[in-house]
Amino acid sequence: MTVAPVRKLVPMAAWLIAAMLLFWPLAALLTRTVMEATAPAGGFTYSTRQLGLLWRSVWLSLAAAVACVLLAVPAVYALGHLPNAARPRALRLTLAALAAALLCPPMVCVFAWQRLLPSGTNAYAECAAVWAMWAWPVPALILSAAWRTSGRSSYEAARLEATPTRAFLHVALPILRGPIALCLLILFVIFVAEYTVPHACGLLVYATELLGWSAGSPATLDTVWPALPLVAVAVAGVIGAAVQWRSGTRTTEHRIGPEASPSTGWPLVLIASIVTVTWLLPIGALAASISSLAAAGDAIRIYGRDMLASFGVAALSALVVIALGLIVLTRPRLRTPALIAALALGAFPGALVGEAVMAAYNYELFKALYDHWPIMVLGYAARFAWIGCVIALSLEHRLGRLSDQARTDGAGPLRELVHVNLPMWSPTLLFAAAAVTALALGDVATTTLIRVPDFNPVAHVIIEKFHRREDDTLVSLSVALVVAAFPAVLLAAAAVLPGTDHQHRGQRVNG
Amino acid sequence: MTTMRNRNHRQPRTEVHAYPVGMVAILIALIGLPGYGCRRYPNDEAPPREVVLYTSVDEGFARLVLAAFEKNSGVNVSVVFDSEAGKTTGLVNRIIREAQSGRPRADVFWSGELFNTILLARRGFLERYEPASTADIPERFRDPDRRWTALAVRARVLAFDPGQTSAGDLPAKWEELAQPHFAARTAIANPLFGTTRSHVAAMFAVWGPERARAWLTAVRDGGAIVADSNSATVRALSDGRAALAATDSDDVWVAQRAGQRLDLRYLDMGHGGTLLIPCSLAIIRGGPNPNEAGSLVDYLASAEVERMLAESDSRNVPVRAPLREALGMEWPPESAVDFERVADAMDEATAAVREILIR
Repeated sequence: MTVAPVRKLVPMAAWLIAAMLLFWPLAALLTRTVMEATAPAGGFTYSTRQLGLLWRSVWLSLAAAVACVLLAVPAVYALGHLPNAARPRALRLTLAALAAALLCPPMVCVFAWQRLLPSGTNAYAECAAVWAMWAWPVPALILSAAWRTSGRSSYEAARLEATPTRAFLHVALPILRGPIALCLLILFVIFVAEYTVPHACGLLVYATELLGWSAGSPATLDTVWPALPLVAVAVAGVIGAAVQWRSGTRTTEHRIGPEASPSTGWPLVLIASIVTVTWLLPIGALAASISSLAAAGDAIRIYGRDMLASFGVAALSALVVIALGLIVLTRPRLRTPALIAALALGAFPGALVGEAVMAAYNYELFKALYDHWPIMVLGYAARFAWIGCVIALSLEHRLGRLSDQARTDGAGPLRELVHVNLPMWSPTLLFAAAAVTALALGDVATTTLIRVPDFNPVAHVIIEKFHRREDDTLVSLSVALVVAAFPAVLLAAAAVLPGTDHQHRGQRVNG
Repeated sequence: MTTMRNRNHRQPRTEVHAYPVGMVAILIALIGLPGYGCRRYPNDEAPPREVVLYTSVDEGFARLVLAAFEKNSGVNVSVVFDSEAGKTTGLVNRIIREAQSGRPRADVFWSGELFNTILLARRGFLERYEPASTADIPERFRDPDRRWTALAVRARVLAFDPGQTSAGDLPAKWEELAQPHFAARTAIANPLFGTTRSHVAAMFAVWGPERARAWLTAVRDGGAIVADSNSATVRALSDGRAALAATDSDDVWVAQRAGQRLDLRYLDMGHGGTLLIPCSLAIIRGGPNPNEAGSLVDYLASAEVERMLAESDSRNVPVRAPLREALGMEWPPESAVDFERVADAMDEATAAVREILIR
């Protein structure tokens, strides 16, 4: 195919993806809510119970977010002390460990921890602890990146007169308060809409009850109205995160300082210890609880097709999300509306995203989508579209001089994207795709409404086995999900660091 | 025009060329996976007949039954299972929405309960059909207009840990459960959903609105735990957060099989027994495969499948008396409430639950 038709097709495809994924579901949800012209079953008020559940969700999510950041601080400290010279090996190991912990679906984490925690553990503490021990790599990665770019020089200066720990606590952390706030807000938005962990802990929170409300009534407003408080809370979190993001990008130093006391030993040991306690230990306990290999084999034999299809659908969703991120990055006219719509859907609880997608595609015209797995791809992608957008915004700052020079040399946007940007971004995009795949594999809320006859999503199979107390199947499928994340873990280990190096090398070449 | 290939900045691209190639390979592999999940047929072979089933029956059990049907009939069954969060009503609402859009997708609805099926029938979403070999099913388990067939009952029960609570400390009637010393130690599922919703509706049907509302008020004031599902009430019992759990009989059997020391009691709701919850079968009006739907319903309504349900973990009690005798199963003490009256009371009960208990 020659370049000219491609140039025409690319904008059309970009609009089509954004419309199918974001604009049409939102418009359909709004239209159907208005057209049905019914009041919500409980009237246009919020009951004391609903507000109580909302308050419970808010403080529990905040507590978990704080715990998560606190858990990440030692890892940030250790990551910051890995010397440049040791990075190719040490950082690969570290990133692989962080990726393994992060790509383990939260439902698997909670089932694993329930094998270690004593019976009668406080459900709130259990829920917050499991969330924190699942998500700590998120703040660890964000804060360590922020420290490398904006807090390192001050820390090194402070180290001339103080111990490393004291300098970290009294100089580095205060400088990182912006990124810390950003982490808290991101984690809060993730936790406040998360369904599986509180459900497995036997806790009623707003997200768990909302799923019942959405499934319990055919009237759209019966889902939309009770979802609004959760959306408002999440939107507040998203706006806060966006403000922190902007202030963070303005103050970035864009430098990597020299290390005064580099070490490969203790930082790796510290990170390995945290990963062992938060991931290896519970997953090991989970795997050890399989009663027999035959039982595991039976589970895989019976549910292998569902599992494979779930994995494929989740991976395709991730690719669509990444495509959307590239669209946001490269199509100026689409950028703002797509970003707003993606963040709006990101603030929606999963049940409401499911409602929007079902409202959009339950038509004869879309039967090829609605009746088969593509509707699930659309559902997951709409739910996690915000990740593609956030990744895209983060990559924008990495364009550097290579892009400028490519444009000076006469490269068009497509050629620039294919030959300059994608090679530079591919490690980050791969990792983002892996993260979305893992999130989609573990998602229950979105697909409570979006179901197709082709297969039963593996997350639903696992939850069902939890309720039916079929432990062998639950454990086997959970462990299989952990194993399924290994390719992404290896990608993270193999790809992220070279990408960073090439960027710097590229800057040196052209500088 | 000079292309980028001739420039110095090509250097970084060549160093990372493995990544785009890797990405393409991964894309191809991943795109193939969903297709792998779908059935494929040789070109010279016509696609087999198909039927679309929506079911809220236990997924593991349904798989066994449907595999046997596919093997015997040559008809492929595409299934949409309900999720725990959906509690049957998720599928019911899906059926309603698809029918309202003029495009029913399901052929058969196989529900774990009956009352929502009755509501679907009343709204005109179900087809008349009399399954073969159901003459031995008592008339009260068959719709007079033959839009649904009910069989394989579960019962609403009170679960307890005999190691913690002696049988003498249990209430004898559902109404007594609202007394403060019982309510404070009781877990019930949210009565807006699932079989607990039907149970409260049955209270309205049997006791009348005043007594039923008083019961809800007393349960609330007594501080009963409201959990998000029946299985969650049994878990509350297991982990010591509650001493009593209002739930379905199959949740207790499943917990017992998992090694938990739980027992159950059939409390009296009036007329000498508790509410029974049969599974139900119906054909969706306007479904895409009506012939295959009939074949599937014939099979699912058969004594063979009812026997399988009785022998499964959920131990559903057959409505066919000879089959019960053959299996040595006893009919649970039953409240003689009319199923249609329970369905009549659903809306009123739901409104009262919103007003009193879940507010």
